[in-house]
Amino acid sequence: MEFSCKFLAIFLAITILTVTRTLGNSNVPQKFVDRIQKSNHTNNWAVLVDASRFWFNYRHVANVLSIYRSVKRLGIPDSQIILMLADDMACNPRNSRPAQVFNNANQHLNVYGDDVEVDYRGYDVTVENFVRLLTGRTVNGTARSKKLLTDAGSNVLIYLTGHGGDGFLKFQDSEEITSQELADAIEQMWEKKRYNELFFMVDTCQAASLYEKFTSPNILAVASSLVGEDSLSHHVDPSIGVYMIDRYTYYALEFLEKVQVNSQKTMGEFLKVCPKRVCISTVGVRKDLFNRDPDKVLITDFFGGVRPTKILSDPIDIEFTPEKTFEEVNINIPLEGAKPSYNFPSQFASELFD
Amino acid sequence: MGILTDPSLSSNDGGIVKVLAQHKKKICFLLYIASLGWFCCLGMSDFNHSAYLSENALSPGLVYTEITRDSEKLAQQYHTEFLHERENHKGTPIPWILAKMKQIGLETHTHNYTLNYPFGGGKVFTGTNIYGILRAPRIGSTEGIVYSAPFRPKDSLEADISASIPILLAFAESARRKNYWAKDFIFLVTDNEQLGIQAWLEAYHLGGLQNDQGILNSGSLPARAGALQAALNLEIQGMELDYINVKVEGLNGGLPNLDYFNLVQRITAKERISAGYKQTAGKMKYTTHSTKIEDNLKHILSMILTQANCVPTGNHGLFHQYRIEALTLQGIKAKSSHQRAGVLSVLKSIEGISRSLNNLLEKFHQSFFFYILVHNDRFISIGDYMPCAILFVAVFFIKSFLMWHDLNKKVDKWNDDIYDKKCEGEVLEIHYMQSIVAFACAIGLGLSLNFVCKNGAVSEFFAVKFGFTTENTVAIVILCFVLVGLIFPFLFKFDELELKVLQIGSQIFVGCVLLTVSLLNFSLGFLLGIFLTPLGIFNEVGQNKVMKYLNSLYIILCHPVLVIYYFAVAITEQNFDNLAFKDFIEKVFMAFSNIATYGVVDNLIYGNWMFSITTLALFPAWILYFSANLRDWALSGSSRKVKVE
Repeated sequence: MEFSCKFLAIFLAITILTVTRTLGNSNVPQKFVDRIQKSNHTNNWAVLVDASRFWFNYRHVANVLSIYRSVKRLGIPDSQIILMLADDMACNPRNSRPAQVFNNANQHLNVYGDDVEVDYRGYDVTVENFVRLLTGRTVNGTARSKKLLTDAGSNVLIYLTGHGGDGFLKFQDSEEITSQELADAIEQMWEKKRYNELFFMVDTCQAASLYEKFTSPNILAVASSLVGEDSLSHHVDPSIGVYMIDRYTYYALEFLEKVQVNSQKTMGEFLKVCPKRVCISTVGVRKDLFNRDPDKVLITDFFGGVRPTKILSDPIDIEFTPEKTFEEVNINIPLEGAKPSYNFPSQFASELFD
Repeated sequence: MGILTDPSLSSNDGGIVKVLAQHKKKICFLLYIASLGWFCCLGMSDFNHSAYLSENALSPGLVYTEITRDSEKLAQQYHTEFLHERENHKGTPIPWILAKMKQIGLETHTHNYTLNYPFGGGKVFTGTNIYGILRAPRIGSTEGIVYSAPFRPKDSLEADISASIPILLAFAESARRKNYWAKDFIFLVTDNEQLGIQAWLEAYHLGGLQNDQGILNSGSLPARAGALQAALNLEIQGMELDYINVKVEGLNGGLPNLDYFNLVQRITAKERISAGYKQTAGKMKYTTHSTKIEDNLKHILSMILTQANCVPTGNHGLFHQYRIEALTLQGIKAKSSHQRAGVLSVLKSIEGISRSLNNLLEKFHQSFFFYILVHNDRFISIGDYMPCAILFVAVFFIKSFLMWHDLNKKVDKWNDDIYDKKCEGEVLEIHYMQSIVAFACAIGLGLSLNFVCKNGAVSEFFAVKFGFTTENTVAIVILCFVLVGLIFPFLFKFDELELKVLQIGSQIFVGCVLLTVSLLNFSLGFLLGIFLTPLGIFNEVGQNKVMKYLNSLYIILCHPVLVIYYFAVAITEQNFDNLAFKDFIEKVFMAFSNIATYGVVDNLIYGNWMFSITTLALFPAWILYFSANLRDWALSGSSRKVKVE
């Protein structure tokens, strides 16, 4: 009896396995497969951080402002972009082009135009503020524009640049965030349902060390260099006298500039923008936490603010139901004949002390 | 002396002490040789590093130079005018420089100072510096950079540097039109060589705070420009240059941050000017690097000799005392048809250096402040050359430790003997008193020599009474003190123990002096170490006669005054050949008194340590060694007498 039971169980298991396999291979209609690969996010947010200050780090500000320009162009509104700039390059007295920041020596594009909204600037850019921002634990009284008001339907882009090392990113000149702290913050975001999917992008030296500790789901991460490698700058503008932009961001930007709002380009393509030949450093990618296939994820899922819109041709019948009054809603058992009386509880529970 | 009397170390069966005591002379001699050997090794490329810039902010050569031919033409025009002015007016052409600075658009001021010459019986010199400030257009005046050019009259003995001021002004004119300066620039023209810059710096930093009755009354400045971060001094000899010599050594052997020197190297290389430390006409850029150890050592030694005399090689040297990084670009005039660098490339270099200095976010704080240059692109860091000095110093401390140990053993034995004889509780101690008094007297003698030499009243007294010049007075005072030093040992009668204590004291004293000096000015410390360490090795009570003779001879030859005298002889012989013996002696005496007087004056006006080190450390130390040696002879003589009897 026992033996036959075991045998039956094994047989059943094998049949189920084969059935599901065949189903998975061919029998599931393509539209269901695609359905899973489609994003179901409802809004887009971006957190763009330049963590380093000083004039000779001009390029980091240019990096961030370039990405800022791209996401804004692709439709994420300023209210949903948190821009952190640790230093003010535009107004640096050494800047021979006052109030302007360029990301290319040809100086065609001033990325510090009139419509840049910097949310955290200068010494506001700290590890504490960054972690508070991500986890939503901002100090009371923080302005709405300085909060990351995401929900379970948000796709969030996090872009970090600055000077990094193995397992940390330097903030300002005095502190650093470790990869563990970053992973904890993102885990909290997940637990608090603050994102749907997250795209994490870093351009620093040894950038890959920053995403190593992540454990939360639905994260796609890309880093400009592997552990032990330096990320390099792209070129100098000899009229300003500083390095303009970092290599990885330069090529990422080159790609993004060609992306339009309705683009069908995928994240898979974006992950390959900077081959070692041009980047010199090896770009690191982490996909294991991400459920979808990056080649089927639209780039606008993270870089754009486009939500899928359905156009209906049929008229819709909207029925107005009469609204109930406050009393009807709140008082379940109407007292017959007597008017309801309301008692306000006393402001101080003084009866307790009598 | 806790360590020295630690029983675990000084117990009789302590192995290391035994070995040390047995072979102390060999070990000390080995240390001495090891130090010299290490120094020779410094020439090898394994012992020195190639130069690099460690300050990120400098980012040298990332900018295009914006200075144009117009500035070159302007410099040439200024030069013609300047020569004309210098020809027609005595002293600094103040109105002309003021007018030019105002025309350029600088905030222009003058600064007057007075020198009350300490030995002149009320002699007073005055001078005027001129400076113009270019305020940074978009930032508060919190930081500044100085560009200075000394004015040298036409009849000066030093090389003519008439192109410095025109180039300074031409650069100021071009800088005035830029919007990217983040620091105030001060364009400073000084007179009276180093006196002018010393007065200006004193006025800038202490203006109104110092005593008006002092020797150098530098007054105050009408305008300032924040904390000075760097300075560039120009000594450009002409409009056509052969090469640029970069001078770094400052007062008391101070050096500018190595980053600054490397920056200058980078920028001048970019502008294709042959430039470098101790550059000579034959030396071309990029071919100077040699792996030959002799060449390297020669270069190191030349730097050591320049640094050791504590005198700044240019006006930049006085900035170092305020921790302002400074160096001098000395443009050497091209011999005909041999021009390698024109005004434009010099101007471009200055601009390039300024752009980098402008990028500084804080004072120079990276790289090295203590180094020796092996080549323009190689250096020895403090960590690599310090072992030389430490090996020297080790000799003194090992010797004094062993002496102390020896002494303790003896005293213990002595005490034991007495303990046996006498009743309990009474322990005899050695009487150091006489040693301590002798030590104090020697130091006091040095102090009083220092005081008397620096006191103007003494020289005035001699001048009034006997009609002596200052130089003669100083020389005579020094010789008097030397005589007192020679009599000194006869004033004390030491027994053996006291002599030993005295020796321990002097060993430790010299060891400390040597260590301190080599930390602050390695070159001086190293040279002193070469001469002083044998004293430390030989200095011992009760050695054999030959050693004692050698020791006495060496001590006498090493007298500080004699050492100065050797220098005087060398200088005299170099400058005047074929002199009659009497004339020669006279010249040597003159050279000697000049050296001594310059030492005193430099000490009074600039704060040069050389005189202080000699009078306060070397002279007393010599007296102590001399007395120990002499009394040692006397002791051995008396003991022999005892034996004979």
